[in-house]
Amino acid sequence: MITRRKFIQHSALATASIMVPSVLKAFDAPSPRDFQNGKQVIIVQLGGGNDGLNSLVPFRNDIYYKLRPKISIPASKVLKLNDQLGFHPALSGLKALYDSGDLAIVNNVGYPNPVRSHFRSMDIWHTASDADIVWSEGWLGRFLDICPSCQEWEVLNMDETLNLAVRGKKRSGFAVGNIQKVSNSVSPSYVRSMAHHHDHDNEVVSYLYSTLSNTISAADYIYNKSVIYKSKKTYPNTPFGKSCRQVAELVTSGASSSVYYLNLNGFDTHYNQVIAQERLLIQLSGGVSTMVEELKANNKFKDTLIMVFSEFGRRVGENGAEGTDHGTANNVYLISGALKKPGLYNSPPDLSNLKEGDLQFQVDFREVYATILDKWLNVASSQVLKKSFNPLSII
Amino acid sequence: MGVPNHKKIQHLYLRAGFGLPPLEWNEKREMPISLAVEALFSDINKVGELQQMDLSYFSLSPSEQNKKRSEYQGKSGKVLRQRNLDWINQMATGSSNPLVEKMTLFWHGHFANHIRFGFTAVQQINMLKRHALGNFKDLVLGICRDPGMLHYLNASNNQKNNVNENFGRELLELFTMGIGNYTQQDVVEASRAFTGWNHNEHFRFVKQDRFHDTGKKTFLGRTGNFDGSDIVDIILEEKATARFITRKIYAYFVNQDVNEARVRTLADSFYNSGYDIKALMKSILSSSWFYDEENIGIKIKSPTELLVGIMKTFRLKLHEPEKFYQLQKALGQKLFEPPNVSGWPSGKLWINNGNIMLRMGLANFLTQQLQVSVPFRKLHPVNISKTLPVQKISGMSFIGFNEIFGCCSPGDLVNGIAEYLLQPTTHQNIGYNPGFSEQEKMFHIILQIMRLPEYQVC
Repeated sequence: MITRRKFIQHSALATASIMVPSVLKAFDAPSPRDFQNGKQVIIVQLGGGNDGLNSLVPFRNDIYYKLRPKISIPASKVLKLNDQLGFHPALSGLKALYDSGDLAIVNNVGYPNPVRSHFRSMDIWHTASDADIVWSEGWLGRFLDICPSCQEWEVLNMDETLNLAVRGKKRSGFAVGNIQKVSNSVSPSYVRSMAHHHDHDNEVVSYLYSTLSNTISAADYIYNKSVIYKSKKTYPNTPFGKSCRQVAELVTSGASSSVYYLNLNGFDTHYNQVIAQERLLIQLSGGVSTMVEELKANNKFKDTLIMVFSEFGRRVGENGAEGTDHGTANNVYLISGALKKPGLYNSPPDLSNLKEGDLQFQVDFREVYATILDKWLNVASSQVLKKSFNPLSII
Repeated sequence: MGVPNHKKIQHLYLRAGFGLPPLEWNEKREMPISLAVEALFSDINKVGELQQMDLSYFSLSPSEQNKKRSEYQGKSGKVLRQRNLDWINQMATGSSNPLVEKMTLFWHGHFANHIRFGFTAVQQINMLKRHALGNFKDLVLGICRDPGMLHYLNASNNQKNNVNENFGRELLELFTMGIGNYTQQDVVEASRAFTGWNHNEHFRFVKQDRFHDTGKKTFLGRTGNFDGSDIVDIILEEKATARFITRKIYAYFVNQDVNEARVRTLADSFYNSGYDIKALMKSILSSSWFYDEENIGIKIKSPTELLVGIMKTFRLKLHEPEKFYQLQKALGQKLFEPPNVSGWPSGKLWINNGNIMLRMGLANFLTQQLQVSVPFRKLHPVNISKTLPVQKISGMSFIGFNEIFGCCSPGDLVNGIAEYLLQPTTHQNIGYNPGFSEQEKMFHIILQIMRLPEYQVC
């Protein structure tokens, strides 16, 4: 049913080299990738800067309690992983995944010269650039740019609009906020008949027509997959919960997309953090763990890798409004039924060694990306990241 | 066969503004281009500024400010959204000269920064409006002293002995010279010259002498005790600056596929005029090549151009800033929030599957929300995202359409409206239900044309 799609080495070189900047050309070697591995990665983006220290609490650390007199999580409440660290009580779903050996925690993930602007820091995570360079293509967009045989639905952004991470120079991911709505938008007969009149002597108009017909074919594909399997599980009744459900249904139905990108926003907790963060973590934990249960039951979990990240963590000390301000390094969770090294990948942050009140990063986030690209999607990460990063030995 | 005059008129107004309502287009359609250009420049002093918010908060004592901070911030956020919409309505209603508005939009994307406060947004956009067609030096100095920009580029971290290169780098790389015309050392030296340039707690520009590095700097081969304005002078002495800016203006207003020889000539004049933006724009819009077929109908409209164009055609006015912001977000161009310091994308990068159906259905989406006595369901509306909130709209009129096209036979009706709305020709078949009333027919034809991919370009 799924056509065998492999990188065609010659066409990869021929088409990719036209528009790719010269920096990238150096890495533009043929990139072998076997799409029949049937694996997918699900990226969960926590927008606004999730407070990693209150998500994964160092409950034996006096500095933590001293710097956060009002908003710290009491040791008696945390879901203990070992004698030092425990999850926020709202993350019971993640705790269960940790216990079953399906969750790995990478601590102190960040990048050199951290930027505390949401805007910029999210761009840096999206484009995988250094902090002092502005790139306008996202890392998953570049993945598509060097993959001529990738389908229009290879990278699905589960949102109304596309974020920068999935935008490339030539190609971009496909935005699906609500599958039914996307399908409705392309269903009228005039849309289809319009798309048939493809050729136009105006090159730009002709481009618009081909985008239109690609949109139609991708929307049809996704819709047809989405009706094969319908979940009976209860997901959080929020946009994030619905996205988790849509992803679980598509993966179970055998959709051939390799990447699913989900958002959960609202983590910018400068005020009254305790309540706001708890509400969001309940959604995160509920959405992700239900999705995992669903994938497990359908024998898809071993082919699925979930990455949970945020553009930065928050300052170690609380502010005067029972919240926290923008910080730097943070923890990243990797969840899969095929982890080689589950559990804690590295040691928790050293609160006695802060830089200007902030955690210091140890693991570059692009090492996490390289792990996903090299070891999961089987694509040479140096081509996508325009630099060499060592993958982590987690998968 | 040359380009017909009415097409040239439309081209001029689409590129130098946001298009023309039908009646004005019809009045001007046979006007010689030279006169139309003169007319466009004749009222460039007609500039509608954005209204500043109530600033009494800033004169409160620190303790009172503390008490009222969240109230002020709430107000400021509201003003930010309201002024965003006000600006769009100004572009659409013609209360301001269209070229000034278009040029301001260009500079807003050029001096890209995320403006966070209502107060600083009004301050910055009004500054851009004032100098949009003035002298480039005033514009650069204005942006170097602009509190919103200084805040965005971390000016408060740029101090003697602790230089932050953020501002200096963006100034050279993106605002004036372009990469390749200076060294890393020039970035450092320029940043040193700008140390102490900051805004105070009232968001007014200040030079903080205690943070300013008064030492000698060597910048682009010149040595002296430079401060920020000396750096701007030196930057403008470099021809590379005139070229970089002219090239960008050409790509935006004429064609992304830049004719380098033309840009060189234009840049030389721009340089020799002492960076007179108005003169540069006048020579572009008066040139014969601007109206060559290869430059017409090949630019993908930015979301703002598309939206304001539709509003202009129907004389629409929008009223709900928060909902409007959702629409802008879905279209991919939120004013005051360019995606990063290098500004908005352009050309094909505006288009993706997530917005193409919305863009094609935009006219339908906007007019659907009006209480007009047209049976919309019969019109096969484009089903765009239902999650977009309904926007209160007023104004909607067919003024012009009836007068100009109402007389004609069915075939002429379609061709006449297509001629007005489209720059490229279309091969699509536009029809209508013969059972419709005259008004319904007309509306049906307009909406069918506005949802064509051909309508996405100008």
